[in-house]
Amino acid sequence: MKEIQIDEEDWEVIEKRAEELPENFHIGILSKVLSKDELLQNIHDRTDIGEAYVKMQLRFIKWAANRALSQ
Amino acid sequence: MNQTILIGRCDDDPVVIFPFHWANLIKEEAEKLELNIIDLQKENYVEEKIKRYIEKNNPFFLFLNGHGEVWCTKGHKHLPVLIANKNDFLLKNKIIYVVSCYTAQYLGQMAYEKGCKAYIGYEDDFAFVYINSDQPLNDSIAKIYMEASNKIPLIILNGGTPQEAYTESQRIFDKWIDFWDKKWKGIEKTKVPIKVVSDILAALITDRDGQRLLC
Repeated sequence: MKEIQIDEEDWEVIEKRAEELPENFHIGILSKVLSKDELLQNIHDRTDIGEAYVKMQLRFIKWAANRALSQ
Repeated sequence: MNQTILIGRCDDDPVVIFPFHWANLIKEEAEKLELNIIDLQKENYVEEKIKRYIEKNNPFFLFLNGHGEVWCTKGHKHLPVLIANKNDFLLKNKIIYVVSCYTAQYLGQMAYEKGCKAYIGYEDDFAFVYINSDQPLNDSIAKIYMEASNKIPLIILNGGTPQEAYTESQRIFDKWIDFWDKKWKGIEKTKVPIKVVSDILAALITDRDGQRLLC
């Protein structure tokens, strides 16, 4: 897969977005499991797992944008 | 044809417990087909035992779950089990499907170069969203990832080719992406919060696009 570059604004936007997730939200990434609070902490601390999550979100945003453009 | 399959799985943290339980369905299918099953679980899912069982029983198919790195699959207590340039030769003439992050990047390549018949895995994160951690098999969100993932071993066990298994798994990822895309756009209603819907989609897209078939 194409490497995704993350800039500071991306981190901030995704962190803000993750704050709105419901409390019972969990995401399993086969290197760690994250509750909402853990997820926010990992994004805030700019950890590898936070980076994995942010990259997933950016991939999704790109996919949604491409889809919108092609329709 | 050798009729033995080897399942390797661990349940020692809250995320690997999901694919651990998903593998029960594969084991049931293998039992139905009267295949010989080696099921290395928990403390038995370690490097030394997988080597011994592969050499002794020569399984035609390996189905492994757990954490992963670019260079290895991990088993009990997150210890490496299959390791690039150490014991990847064990996969010669075998089909393997690994539900782990990253292993298709390097371990898969190395195994393929050493004669692995087909390596199916993920070159990026393997991720899934869930709501209820008490129900790995019944969580309404997690089971969509299970369906796409489990399709691979189900097809292989029933005599399908790795290419067929990969294509069908990709089709199921596409099916669920379309399903949740309609919810995300508001075309169809859902009780799932929209922020979660986009995370469900993000994980599905990551899994689909990171899934690799090397054969």
